[in-house]
Amino acid sequence: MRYCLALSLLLFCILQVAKCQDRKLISGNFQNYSFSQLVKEIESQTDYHFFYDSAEVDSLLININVSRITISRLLNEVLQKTSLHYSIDSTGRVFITNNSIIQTTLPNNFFAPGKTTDSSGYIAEESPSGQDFQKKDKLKISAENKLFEIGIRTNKPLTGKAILSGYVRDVQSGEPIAAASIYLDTPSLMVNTNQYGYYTLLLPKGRHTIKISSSGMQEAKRQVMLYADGKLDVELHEYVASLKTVVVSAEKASNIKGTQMGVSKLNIKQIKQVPALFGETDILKVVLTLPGVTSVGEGSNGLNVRGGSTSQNLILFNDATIYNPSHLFGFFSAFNPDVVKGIELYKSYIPEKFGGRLSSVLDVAIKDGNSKKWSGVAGISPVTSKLTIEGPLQKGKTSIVLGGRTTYSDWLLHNLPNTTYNRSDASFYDLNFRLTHTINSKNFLYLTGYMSRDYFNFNHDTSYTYNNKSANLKWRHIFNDKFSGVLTAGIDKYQYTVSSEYVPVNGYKLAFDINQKNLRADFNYQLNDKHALDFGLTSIYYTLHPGNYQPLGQQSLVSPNVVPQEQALESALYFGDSYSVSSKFSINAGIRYSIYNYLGPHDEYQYVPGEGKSVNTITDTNSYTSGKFIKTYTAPEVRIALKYELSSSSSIKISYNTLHQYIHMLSNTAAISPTDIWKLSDPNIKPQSGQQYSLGYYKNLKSNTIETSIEVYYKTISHYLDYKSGASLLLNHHIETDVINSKGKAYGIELLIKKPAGKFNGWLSYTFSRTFLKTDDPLAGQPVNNGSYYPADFDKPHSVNLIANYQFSHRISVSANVVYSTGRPITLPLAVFNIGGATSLYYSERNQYRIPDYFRSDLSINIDGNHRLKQKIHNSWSLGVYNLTAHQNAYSVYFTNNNGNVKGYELSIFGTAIPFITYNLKF
Amino acid sequence: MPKYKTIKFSILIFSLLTLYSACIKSYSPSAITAANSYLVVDGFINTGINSSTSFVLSRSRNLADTSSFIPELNAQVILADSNGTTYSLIDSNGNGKYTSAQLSLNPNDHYRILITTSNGHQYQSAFVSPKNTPLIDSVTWRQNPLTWDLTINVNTHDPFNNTTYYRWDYSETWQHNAPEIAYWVLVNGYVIPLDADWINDPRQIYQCWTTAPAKHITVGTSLGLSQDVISMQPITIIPLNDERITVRYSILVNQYAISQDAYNYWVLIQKNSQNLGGLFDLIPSQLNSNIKCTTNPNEPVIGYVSASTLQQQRLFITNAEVGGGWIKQEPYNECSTLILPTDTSNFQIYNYPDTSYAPWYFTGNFVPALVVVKKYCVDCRVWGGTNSKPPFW
Repeated sequence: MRYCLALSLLLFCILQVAKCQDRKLISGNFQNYSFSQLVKEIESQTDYHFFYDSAEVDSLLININVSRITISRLLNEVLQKTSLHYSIDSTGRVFITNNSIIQTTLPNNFFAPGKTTDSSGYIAEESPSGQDFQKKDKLKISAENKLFEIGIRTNKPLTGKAILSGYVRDVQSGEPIAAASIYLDTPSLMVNTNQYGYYTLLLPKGRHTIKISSSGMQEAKRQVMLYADGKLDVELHEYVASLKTVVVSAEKASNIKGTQMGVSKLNIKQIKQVPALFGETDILKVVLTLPGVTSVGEGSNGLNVRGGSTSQNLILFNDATIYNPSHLFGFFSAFNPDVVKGIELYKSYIPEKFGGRLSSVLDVAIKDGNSKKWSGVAGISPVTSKLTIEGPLQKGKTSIVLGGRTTYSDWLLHNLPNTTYNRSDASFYDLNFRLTHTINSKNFLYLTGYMSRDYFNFNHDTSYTYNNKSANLKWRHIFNDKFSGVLTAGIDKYQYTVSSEYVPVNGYKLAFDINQKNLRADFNYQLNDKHALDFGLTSIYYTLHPGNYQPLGQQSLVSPNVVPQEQALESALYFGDSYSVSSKFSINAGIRYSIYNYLGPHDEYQYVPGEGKSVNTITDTNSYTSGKFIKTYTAPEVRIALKYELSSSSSIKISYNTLHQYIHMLSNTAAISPTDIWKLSDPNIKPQSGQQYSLGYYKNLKSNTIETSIEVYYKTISHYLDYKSGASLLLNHHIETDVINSKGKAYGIELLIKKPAGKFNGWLSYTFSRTFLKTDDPLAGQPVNNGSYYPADFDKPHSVNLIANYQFSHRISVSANVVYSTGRPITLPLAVFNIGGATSLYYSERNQYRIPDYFRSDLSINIDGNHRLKQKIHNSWSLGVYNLTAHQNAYSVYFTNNNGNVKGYELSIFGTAIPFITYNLKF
Repeated sequence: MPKYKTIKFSILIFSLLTLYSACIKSYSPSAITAANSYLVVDGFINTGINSSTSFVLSRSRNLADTSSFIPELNAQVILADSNGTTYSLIDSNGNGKYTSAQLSLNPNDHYRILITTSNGHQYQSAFVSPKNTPLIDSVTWRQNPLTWDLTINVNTHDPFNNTTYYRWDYSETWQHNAPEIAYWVLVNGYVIPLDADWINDPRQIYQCWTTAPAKHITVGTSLGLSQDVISMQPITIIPLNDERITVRYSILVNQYAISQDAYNYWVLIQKNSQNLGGLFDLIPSQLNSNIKCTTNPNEPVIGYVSASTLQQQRLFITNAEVGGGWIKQEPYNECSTLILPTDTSNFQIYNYPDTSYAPWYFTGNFVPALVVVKKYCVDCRVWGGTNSKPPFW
């Protein structure tokens, strides 16, 4: 075993020449040196011996000051803008050549021709498309040391710029890698791949070293000689712990150089590192550890981003709007981690292509599927089982992903000794489908389907069912190197039903659903090296059934109550420009013009002008016929972000956003199981609008191995809907009588220290955020808390998250997750009294008290089996404890009235430490 | 090399302890367990001619406190007008109900209530301007044709369109009879025959009358109507076969004109008295009283002081008038009898030790024997109320 490891390491070293050559470091201030002077100096400091043609190097003048750097770094610098190459062999001989590289070792498959799979650090690079460069060269040489010539080679002096574009893919699956960073040191430049793994770089013609990184992957670099516009596709290798590569400095400096602010990008590999409940990777739980993101409590549906409500986040699962992103009332997220590629969370600068929500956009991307071979992931646990299969239907052309997940927690519940639980049922499933088809190099089709269903029944009393369903088709067309577009059409549906037959006479079924038909066209145009434009239009047609209450069972005496359907059209046109003013200063500016039409048929209540809206002030009803434009709201939205690089390791960013939201969520959090309804803006309910100012300072320490940032924000919100005292939300035919226009303000500061790589990696975030609301409605009757500012339901001032991973050895790593946050505000009933014959309750001011603080710590240990690369079966253990300190966090706090005796209860779902052990097999 | 499939089996081998380790525990933070004993002021300033004003003072209690009513005793309650004239309200019965003498207050003045509790805290209401309550047009009833439940409605209007906001409360009185008639009743240890006109004999125990105050708050408004009219405002609902209409029922409806703020206040009280914790629950409401504690401005006070005249109207409903075959639904109570030998010296002497029995009638040809029966069969008072007929009956 040990011998094998040593052997494979040795083998690896031989192959990985570039890594083993750096045996000696070079220091010195070489000003106005000729190449031969430099060589003399290096040979005196080290054991290297140079072989070169002096005629080829005589024009070189060297000005460089170095301190303890490797020979390859030095030569990279020195030879960077030349057509010269160097090669170093294992004995320390350095060969300088013009235009071609000397192979100092035999190709790794020299002795086994026909074997194409390569597990070493060599990259099986396809030749750059459109170029005949080394097409016939089937020997795999190190792509890192190879010079890729783009365009027709010329000896003329190179002036102007050229576009380099291409795909970044996973070498194993062919899966495009989104949000990979492509960057250069000179000129200081960085771009990210888009969701299709595609990048576009505008560079001065000439020689460049391009670095490509994506976390969880080995960093790669490419030597490029750019003569004209062209393509370079890059395939990245997965970072494998057994390979003692210098751990990726993934996205090093990307936080400094990226123009966007307040955006968090995580790929599935980073997400999977975080310890999860029952070992089930949970995307939303990881998002919750990011600065500025909180949740109102364990098991709550969704996220509160920068003091926004859960309904103010646009959650997109491959462009499908997900209204309820959780399973089992929030204990699992609705996204199967095996089909997810990665997530992007925008919380301050929201790109103009997104709209319709005030707080944030969480964009969850789905894998495209392995285009090279069939593969699958299967998992079985006492709680869930899942299966994902992916592979090419037609190699290189069409690939599919099929994923499914289900639970059999019913079985578990039924086996519990407590009668309350063993008479309960809980189950869910979700299904994913994705088909990616390449029509030709210019046209691509993507078909995606998603469905999830939840069922929950507590003690055979009330049953809850909810479903998300969506399907969409995208057509991506590349017009030319500079111009591409995507056309998307899709449908989304979210529905739930609540039913109870516990008391047969009161048996009821309450149904709610919301349907969306979406159409959007998005275009990117790289105007020139300074301007990248994006523009497009989107349209959503909503149909919403706000409540359908029907008797259930033959004995039921419940009378039906149906709140009529409503419909609306929300459209937007947008245009944005990403403008690089200088290498240090850049601007992202966009405008989005949103148009909202509330459509008939609808019966609109009229109220006494100048009086508060209440049942008693209804004067008349206006009936509108189908398709009638009842009310139109339009608004321009502005999105601006500025970035200024103070130095190579620090930058400052500013952003300003305005947003509009036309759909509102109404949630009664006082109930044991909160049920949310959504409401479209109508003549009586105005759209919400918000603006956000934010400022961030980013500083990287210790040569970019530690990232720190501080962001502050201030937000204002108008027409936020809060509820009147005594509001009734469900089955309300005139909800406008029970809501109050409120204005809100939110502010906060977010601190992040992140060590993205290394033996010890992870992040620590602290968020201070406050959200206050104030009744802003002169006709509201009694304003909430006498018209002063009061904390919103989701106001949680302090939140601390720690994610830490420590790699003890190649085989053992430990991950810890610690979460602390202030408890959410609550309005408490304080006293009982009798007045006018009635017994009534005296409540505190709105949100005057808080439920207990939330604290949880999780720990997991991952033990990998051996890492022999050719071994067929790989195994690993993962064991851990969820809620290590057995803190009883409140899922829900509620009050019930039993025969006049009002009592408060606190429901903790995970009131104890939950250990788990997982055994993984991979073959 | 042949293609190989990568299949990852992730098998969660076991999970220690129960997975759903949920627990429900009592939630009682200090804010809830505190005494939360706030002053509750219930009443109105009656600006009618020769009318007395009454306020009931009580204390709220925390959620765990099961006592039903905590009267606030030994307080000084003063009714004051804007000129400083004061009238004292006296708790003559020591039950927390403070009543003034008969007054004829000037309807154009402003009034307020000043309270000093026995612990020295001082409270005062805002000055309120009296409102003139319009006459009640009628109190009517109507039965739901499906369920036969009976609703009492009030109808009123203000010809001057000045009132807009109304509050009602009521007092119900109903007659209920014992299952059996006893013409002999127990008086001071003797079984005494009733008068020939037994039904009007004050000693009869067959007919009883129970009076109860309102159990909920009713407010209404004519806002949104072109005239100040309240039509068919429900006051209370009596479910089919309720004891209250098994013989004869009466309701006295009190009508008060109130301000808009008072209306809002009572609406919230009304809402807060409903159930909590369920799916269809309401958002908790706060109450903003027009009474403030002057010695401690942060101390909450419950209640809303209004001033108005009072309008009343009484309605009677007899069992024969209602539909649906209205019969009292009560648990089966067996009226089995015992026959007791009578005292030879005086057959009217009653000394049967079991107090759950009552005399019914005498039997036997020569030596009378006393038939006794469970008390609930012949004495309506067991079922509540009093056997003296109210004056308005």
